[in-house]
Amino acid sequence: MLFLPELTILGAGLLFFLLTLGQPSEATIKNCASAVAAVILFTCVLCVNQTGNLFYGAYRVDLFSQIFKILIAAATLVVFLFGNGLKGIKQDSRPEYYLFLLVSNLGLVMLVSSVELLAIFIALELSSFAVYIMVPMRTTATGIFFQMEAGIKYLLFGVMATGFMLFGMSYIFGLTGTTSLDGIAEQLPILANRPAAVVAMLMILSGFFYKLAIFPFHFWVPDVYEGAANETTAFIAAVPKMAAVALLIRLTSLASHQGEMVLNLLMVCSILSMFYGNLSALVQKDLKRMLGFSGIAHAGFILLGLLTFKLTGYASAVYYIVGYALMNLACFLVICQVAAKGENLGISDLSGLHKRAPILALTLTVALFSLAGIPPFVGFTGKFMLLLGALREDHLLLVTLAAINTAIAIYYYLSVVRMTFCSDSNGLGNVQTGFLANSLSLILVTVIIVMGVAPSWFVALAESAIKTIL
Amino acid sequence: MMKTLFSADGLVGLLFLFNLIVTVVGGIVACNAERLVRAVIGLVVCFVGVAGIYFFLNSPFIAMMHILIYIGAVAVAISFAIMLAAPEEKMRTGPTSPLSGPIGLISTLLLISGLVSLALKTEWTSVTKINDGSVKTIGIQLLTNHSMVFELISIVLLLAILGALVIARGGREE
Amino acid sequence: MDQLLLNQGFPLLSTLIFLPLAGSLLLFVVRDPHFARYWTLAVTSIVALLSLTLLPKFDRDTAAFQFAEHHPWIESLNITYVIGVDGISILLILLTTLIMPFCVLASWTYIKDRVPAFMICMLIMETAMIGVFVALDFVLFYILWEAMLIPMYFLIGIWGGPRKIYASIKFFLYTLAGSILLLVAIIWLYTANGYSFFIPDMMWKDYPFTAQILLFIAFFLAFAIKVPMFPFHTWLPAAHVEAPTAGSVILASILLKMGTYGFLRFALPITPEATTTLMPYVLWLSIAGIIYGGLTALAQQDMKKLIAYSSVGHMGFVTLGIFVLNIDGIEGAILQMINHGITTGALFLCVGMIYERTHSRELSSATGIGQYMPVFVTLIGIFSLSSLAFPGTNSFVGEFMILAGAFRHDVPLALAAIPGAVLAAAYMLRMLQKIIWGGTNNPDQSWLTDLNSREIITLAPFLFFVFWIGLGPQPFLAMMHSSVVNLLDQFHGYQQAITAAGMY
Repeated sequence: MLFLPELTILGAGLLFFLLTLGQPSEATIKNCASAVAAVILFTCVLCVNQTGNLFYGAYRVDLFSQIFKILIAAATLVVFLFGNGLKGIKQDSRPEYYLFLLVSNLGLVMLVSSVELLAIFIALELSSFAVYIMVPMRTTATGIFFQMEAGIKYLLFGVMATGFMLFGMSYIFGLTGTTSLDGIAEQLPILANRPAAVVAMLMILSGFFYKLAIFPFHFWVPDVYEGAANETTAFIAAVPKMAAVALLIRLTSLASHQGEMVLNLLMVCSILSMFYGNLSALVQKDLKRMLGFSGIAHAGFILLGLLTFKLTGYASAVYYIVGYALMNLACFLVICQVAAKGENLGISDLSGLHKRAPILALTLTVALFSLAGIPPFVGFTGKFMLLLGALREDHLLLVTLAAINTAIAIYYYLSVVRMTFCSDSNGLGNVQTGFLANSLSLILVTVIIVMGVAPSWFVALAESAIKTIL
Repeated sequence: MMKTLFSADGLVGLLFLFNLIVTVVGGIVACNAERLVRAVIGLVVCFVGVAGIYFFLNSPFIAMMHILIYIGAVAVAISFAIMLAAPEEKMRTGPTSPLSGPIGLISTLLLISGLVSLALKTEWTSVTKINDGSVKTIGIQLLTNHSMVFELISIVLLLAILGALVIARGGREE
Repeated sequence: MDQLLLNQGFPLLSTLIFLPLAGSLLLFVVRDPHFARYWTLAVTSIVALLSLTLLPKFDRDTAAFQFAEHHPWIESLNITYVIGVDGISILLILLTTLIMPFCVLASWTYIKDRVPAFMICMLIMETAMIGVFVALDFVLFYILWEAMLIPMYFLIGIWGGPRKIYASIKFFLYTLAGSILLLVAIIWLYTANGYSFFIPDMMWKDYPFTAQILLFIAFFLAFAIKVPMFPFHTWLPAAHVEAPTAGSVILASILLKMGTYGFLRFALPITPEATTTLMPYVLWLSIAGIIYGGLTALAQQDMKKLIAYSSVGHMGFVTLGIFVLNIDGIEGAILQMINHGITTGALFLCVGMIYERTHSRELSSATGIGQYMPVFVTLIGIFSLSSLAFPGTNSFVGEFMILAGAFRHDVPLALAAIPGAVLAAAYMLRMLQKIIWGGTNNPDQSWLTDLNSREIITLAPFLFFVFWIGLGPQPFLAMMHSSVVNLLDQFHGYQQAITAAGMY
């Protein structure tokens, strides 16, 4: 029972492995994938109240990990559902694509439960490898010819970041003589002010900074977002980031004794991420690149919650990343639907969307206003709570800079909204949307609004989850 | 008290130093060689050095395995791949900024000096030898304390094989 | 919580806030343009009638917040849903609710495409605007304040004129950039006030002087951009010119008032010391706005731009009245806020009516229409006179009170504001002269038809209020009196406490 979700994902992976051997029809694959994802979500929900240790203490099942498992499974289900028949992926490798997605999912699910450095490392690698392979699987029929380059870039930067992480882990092992997070947590306060411990901690964090795309580990973002298929980008933009936040919470709660040094570095990373992401996003023409840069800025915002080292700050970070995943999924749902052949979309390709697909236009607008942090959507509430948490810790300058960034960000989000609502369709045809996509987008819109207006429930849940690991 | 170079400890130290030099030189060759084959040789040299470090860490079995797998299998596989694919030997592509060399050098030196001084200044807790590094203990460790990692690695390997197949197949068709 | 007089029985204010929002939901489903028009008119009219029922129950003798409602909302952050009305906000709420049906009427034929979407924007706008004036929780206030930008952005961006994209983005960026620091200020106040967002609790506290100055700057940026005060006014002409008539009316009549309302509600009570220190600068900025608005309006060829710049001047009078910090000034300012809403709203409606006929806002293409549209020119004539503060009209009372307050405060200051009044006469009479008579080379206007009954009904109530406030302002002043007196008492009490503390 403790291990049921993971076993289900493994089983699903096996199922798809068998599917890759035969030659199943498109519909079979898609239906299988959606059904499997739903079952995974169901098992995750079923196991929400489980607690216990597995694998000699390397794997811990607690409320914190279980909630993240549900979130990851739910986001994956959404990605599976809205994939417009995976138009962006080479036709003959679509079953494999789902297989890799599932394996990556397995890696992430195991990551959030891992409480031992080696297990964390391997789980992270498992989830990353699958995505490294998914990036170059895009078909050249979409008019994009640098998917290999994007894949290699993703791989190289990923390897570099995990190299840093491994090096940091070796330092931590050298200092404490243990690889289990509990053991490290016991010893770190004693080592608190040793520079080696600080450096080691930061190096370990860098592996997850890479996943979350925080400056200076963000270089892969624009090219990978642009080069990968729309569905892949949707996955990269939403799902691994949630797991990264989970692990960052686990790790920064260890680093909280290390005081000023770590705090200052996190602040610098946060500010630079926000400014770099927002300023670069201002000049983008490609929608996915723009979302990529905006993702860097949002990652900076999430750091704002982590560097409070407080329960409420962590809870706001969890709330924010979930909101962020929702908004991104909504954006990518629209992108996948509008890009009928799986091609990349320029911002100008959205012109007149309000006529071509009113529901999608509404979804995109809500998602973008939410990303921009306009009330009453989830993006605003999240941002508000993060700023509030940071100001409680007296980081006035940081909060002011973050607030200024919100104002910068408005411009590029608005320019997309302007295209969808305030311009004519310029001869672009109607967008075919199925019932599934429409209802999914309406559900996302509802959740974005409801979570924004009534955040109490979720924040309380996140807080009680985080309490289990502090 | 200064130990002489020719005592037992001193010789071991010398050997260790030699080992490190082999590793680093191998790594540099692997990164900078103009020809791919030479890069593979550099990699092999580097692997030998790493295996030596394992030996110094009281794990002769792992040192053996490292040589066997990485040099005997991985490096050979890479060599085969190079021979089969016969890639063009021109490695350098595109103009690079004249500043990139010096900047890279300076930042590397900064990083290295930082890490070195960090390593020297830190009082490392000397870890006592936890076990004898024999096959049996390694096996026990892999199936107890590190069983999860052990299982996960098998999935990683499976994934790597499948991924290589998928990418290679796609590459051939186009 | 003793500043609240809790509402018993029917939650009137919440109904006012949420009725339009609920009404807009239906329009998401029913997409018929005709139905949308009637439905929106019905909803806004019901809201207007409901808001009138506030009047008999409104207690003029107290400065507390009446009809208050208090519900927990986000408990972990101590954010509550708390709303209430006092003498400062009640008139603004009534202005909002009463003007909305006429905005709908004015858009009856003006808006031809995407009518349901337009009406949805109008209804959401109404919810947000009423909410801003009644919110007593700072987060609630901020959420509604920001949320208002979205429908307004669409009103300008979709149904606007040729440069709508530029205007809508400029409007959005300016207002948002201004209010961003307000958010930081809100959170600072929250931490300084024992983790509470309840606005009355934040007032009259002795925050450190530097903190007050910083808070005041944050408030000032947010509200001065909204007012807009010189030199933050540049978004206003663009937005006014490009917005559809209803958008211009809402912008001029209600949105601009939120800035001045913000000064009264937040800047004065929360940062009294900073207000006293920075008062002279704000006053002279107001004077600069008055003169600048007048001079620029004099040079405009575009009627909407002319009225937009005249707004800058009029709002300069309002901020002048607020920051002279005496009873005449503030009461005059509040009254002038209402007056400006009525008069400028009506003028924008008039320009919209010409535009619907000639499809041009150029003064030169609307010359000499007096002969063919007698009813129209009579009405626009009266509204123009009201705008230049002709005795007997509403603006005269407001402007007179503000100037009286200014004279009591500082004679040179008041003298500096006088040219503004003269300039107002100059630009308004220039516009009137051109519209009614024009010159010898008027374009052929004989095909123009005079106002139809829908248009007359739209304008009639404005006319009624122009004269009512102009001839008998007493009931309006009586409503705000207790609140203003209380505000000033507290303010001066605070000053005395500070000086007393400074003696030791």
